[in-house]
Amino acid sequence: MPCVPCSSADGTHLELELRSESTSVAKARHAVSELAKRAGTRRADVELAVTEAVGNAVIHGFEGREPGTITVTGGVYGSRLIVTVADDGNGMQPRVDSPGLGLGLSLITKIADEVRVESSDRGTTLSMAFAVRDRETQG
Amino acid sequence: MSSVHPGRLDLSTEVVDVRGAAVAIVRAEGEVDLGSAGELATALESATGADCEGIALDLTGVPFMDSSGLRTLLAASERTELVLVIEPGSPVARLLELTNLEDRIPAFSAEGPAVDSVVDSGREP
Repeated sequence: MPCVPCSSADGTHLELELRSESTSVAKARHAVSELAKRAGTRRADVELAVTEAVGNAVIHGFEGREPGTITVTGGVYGSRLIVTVADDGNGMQPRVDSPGLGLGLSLITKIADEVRVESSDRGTTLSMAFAVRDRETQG
Repeated sequence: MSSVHPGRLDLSTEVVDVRGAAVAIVRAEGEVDLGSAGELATALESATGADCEGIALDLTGVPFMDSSGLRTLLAASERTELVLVIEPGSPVARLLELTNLEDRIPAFSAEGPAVDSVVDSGREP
């Protein structure tokens, strides 16, 4: 499945479709990093949060079935950059043997200003918000 | 820091003799994430099997690491003495801080003290 990035003319909006495979993690991170830079947000935090979110989707989203699609969208809305990672997988399932130690989601909630998760048997959508800071202080 | 190709991880291993003890220095350059953590794991496993006192993992050339990289470090620290060389204030340093792992895996800002630490840890009563 091709990686199809779509950016707005001023670089403050992004939509990216990815296959649920490990190489998609870096693709998502690099695309969102540029968005974060232009938006004037905490670039390193956005990179990490998006990486964890896409990684979670790759690892957990499609267990027992064929790989699917992960869609990453991002945009500046008022004083916030909002990045959403959505997959069309199984939805979040409780696992006592989680290979991830639960680190990914806890990291996301620690570094994003706001996190929202919606999950069903049609997939999971995770939205993260980051305050847009003064461009002089962007990381 | 040398330029790195996004998504690519380069690894090298050097075994040094420190006061009669062998220490493996594994140097990583590039990003460590779900796509590349396996390569790091392989390098650390190989270094563990090299009959060394432990491993000094130099991450000063790593501009990004995520939780999959952390899991790799934790797994290696279960098998052998592992210390890190990291740049203060770097994304790797921040990740260790966020996860409170800075106390679990010793970290230094230069290879010399890191390598000495491996040897000293192995010789502690």
